Amino acid sequence: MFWIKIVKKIIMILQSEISPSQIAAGAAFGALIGLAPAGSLHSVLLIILVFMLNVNIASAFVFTGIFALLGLLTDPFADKVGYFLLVDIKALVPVWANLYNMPLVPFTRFYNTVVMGNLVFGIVLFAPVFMLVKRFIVFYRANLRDKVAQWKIMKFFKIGSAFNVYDRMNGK
Amino acid sequence: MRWKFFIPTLVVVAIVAVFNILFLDVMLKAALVSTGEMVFGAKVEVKGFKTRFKDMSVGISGLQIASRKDPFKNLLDVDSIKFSAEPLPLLSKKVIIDQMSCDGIKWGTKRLTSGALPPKKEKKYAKKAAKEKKNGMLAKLFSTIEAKSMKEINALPAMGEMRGIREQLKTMDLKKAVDIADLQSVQEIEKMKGEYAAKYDKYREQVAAIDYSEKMKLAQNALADASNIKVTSIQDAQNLKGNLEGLNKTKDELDKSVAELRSLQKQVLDDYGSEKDILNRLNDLKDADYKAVADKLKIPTVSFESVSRSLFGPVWVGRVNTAVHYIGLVRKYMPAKKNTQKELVKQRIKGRDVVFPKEQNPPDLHIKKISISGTTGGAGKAGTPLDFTGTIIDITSTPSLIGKPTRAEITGRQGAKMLKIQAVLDHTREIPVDTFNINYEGLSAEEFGMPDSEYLPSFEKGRGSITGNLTLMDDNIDSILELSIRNLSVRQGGNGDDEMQKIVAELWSGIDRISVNAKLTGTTDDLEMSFYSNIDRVLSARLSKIYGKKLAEIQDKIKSEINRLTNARKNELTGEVNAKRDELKNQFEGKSKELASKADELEKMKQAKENEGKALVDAEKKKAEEEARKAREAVEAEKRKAQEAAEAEKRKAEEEKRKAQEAAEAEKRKAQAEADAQKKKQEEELKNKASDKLKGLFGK
Repeated sequence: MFWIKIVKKIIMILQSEISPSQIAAGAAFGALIGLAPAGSLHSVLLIILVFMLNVNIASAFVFTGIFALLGLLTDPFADKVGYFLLVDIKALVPVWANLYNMPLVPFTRFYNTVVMGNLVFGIVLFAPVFMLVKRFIVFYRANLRDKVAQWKIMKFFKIGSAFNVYDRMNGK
Repeated sequence: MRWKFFIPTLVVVAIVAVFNILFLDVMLKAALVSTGEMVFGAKVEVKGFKTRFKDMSVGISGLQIASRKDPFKNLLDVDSIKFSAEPLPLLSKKVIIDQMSCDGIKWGTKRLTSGALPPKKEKKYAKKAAKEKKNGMLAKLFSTIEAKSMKEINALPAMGEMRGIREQLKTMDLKKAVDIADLQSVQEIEKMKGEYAAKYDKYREQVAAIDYSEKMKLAQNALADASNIKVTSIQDAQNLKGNLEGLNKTKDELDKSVAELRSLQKQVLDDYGSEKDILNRLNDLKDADYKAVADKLKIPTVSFESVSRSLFGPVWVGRVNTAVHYIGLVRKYMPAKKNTQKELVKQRIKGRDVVFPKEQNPPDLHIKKISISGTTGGAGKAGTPLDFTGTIIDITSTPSLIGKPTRAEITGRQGAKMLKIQAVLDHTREIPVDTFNINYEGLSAEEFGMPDSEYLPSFEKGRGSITGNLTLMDDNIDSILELSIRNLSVRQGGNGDDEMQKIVAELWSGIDRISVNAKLTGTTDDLEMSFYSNIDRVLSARLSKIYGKKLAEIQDKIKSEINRLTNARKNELTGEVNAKRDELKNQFEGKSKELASKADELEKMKQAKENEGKALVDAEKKKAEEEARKAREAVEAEKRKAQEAAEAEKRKAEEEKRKAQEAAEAEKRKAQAEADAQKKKQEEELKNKASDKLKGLFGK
């Protein structure tokens, strides 16, 4: 089941010793990737960036999934924001026109109202997501981690090889 | 930075690179073959396909496009194609090629294997093509040209068939061949006789139903009754309408009968028709009889008037249609400018795409120059090949963006041979204009691609030239072809039928020059085709001499036999029909005239009686009006008198009232004067009293 896998992954990340900053950065990137429509050039570049930078890949993917679902709700607003930026703000039109005439850039489909709106949402949410996730992990590890570790289900998770793989990937 | 990521990334990049090196060419080759097969509807084969990322170049070798019409021939055969694409525009999905070279171009070369597509593929592509063809403007023109050629280009009869006829004519018994029982015209005449007799009886019955004499008698009686009506008093005039009712009724019945008779007369004329109509109908039937007999005897109905049209027409129309088909393809992939305002914001399923202006907007594909070289020879082609070179400039997917038409020029010269092809495909404006000019001189007889006809001999020698031009503006076609062959000589002998060879040799003997001039002009709705050749007159005369005379003789014989069997019956029928039609017509006309005249009499009588009544009523009315006037005047005099008396009374009363008012005023004035005198007296007395009192107080 998809949802069980997601929950399992979240718990495993939370229970692990991975730095909260790495997890939070992964989550922030996940938000950016999740809100961008699949297949656009900038989402591919962001995925490459996630792999290249020292951020938690698992949290990035989990948050990509979460924000992709959230994106379905934000699309109508993103359309309005994107239209406002692309059409209504006349001062920005030359900038978009220049980008439109550049090679490769049009492959990002920045000229689509939903893509532009969601990109702005992603950028705006980047820092708040990072801060919130980091604080939550610190709080969780200080107050909840030991209790959660006592859950019977955690024994099952720990037996699973995936948990160890996460740790290994992150040098633990 | 996660450095260990680079190893898997490098692995992935290496895999992609290896995949491209190993399979990109295979995939691109497959795409080229599949697209080509879809476009041309026949097999497309490519021997080699090589891409190089270093200079973004592509090399294609051994490209063969099979002909859909003749699977064992190639439509196009190119030894090598090389080009390089500009790298930067590729990042914006634009293919810009500065220079392309196509070498070793050949056409119509022989294939060792069939170029037909497998049935499944063919069906798939044909379905797709049919869908596109349905609405295409040039597809309609294509169909119109085909239909026009089918209608106007008659195929010559097969020679074997003609020879059989000659044998047949020798032993043919016309009396047996033309059987009266089989003649439609005779059967139709008998049938028509029956039909006209039935019609005659029907009309006679209808006339009898009208009962003419009874109606005339009724009309007479009504007239007599009406003449007895006397109008001497108002009462008579009032009763006149009732008395004339019978006359009106009779007149209405007569009018109805007249209308019926006239309608029947019209029906008779329509039903029987004129003699001309009957003769035309019988002539048509006689023609059908002739055709039936001719079919039975297998006698062809041929015209030898335009032999060149029959010989060269199908080839020429085929070439024009091939050109129209390929121009259609070019127009599909190089569309003309569209006069539509570009949307600035396009609706999408997800969001909207905003379109920004492009500063330098190159088309998706632009081949700036193609250098070509090739030969008119190749596998399976006769004659001495001629090498040619040429250039094609500005091939593009969006000609309006380039603003320049695609131009092609191909030239070749070798001894007496000369080839020049020029083409201009102008799709930069809303109405596309495509022009092709070809001039090919010094062709040998065997290179000419003579049509496959048993009426044409095998030419041994001869030099010729072809000049053609085709202009297609939208769907307006203007095509001219001039073909000229000189110094012709026919090859003697051969493996064919001796007699047929003899006929062909007889037909072409002494002809050492062929010139054909063909024109096709107009639009889909109005297409004109003309064909002229110097051989028409000679070949027509010779063919007529060989076949025509005998054919004409047998045709005349059949026709006269049919005439003999039908003429007497035909005359009998037309005589009968004319007589019956005239009889019925005269009868209807006479009776309707008499009834109409009686109806007129009744109308006149009615009018006279009505006028009589009206005159009486008018006189009585005038009298009554005079009396009424006098009475009115007396009343008015009485009224005036009474009014005068009333006015005198009124004046008297007013006088009395005035006098009374004056008396009252005099009384009033008198009373006032008395009151004033009284008041004065009292004031005088008061004054005196006051004076006395003052005197008493102060003394004198």
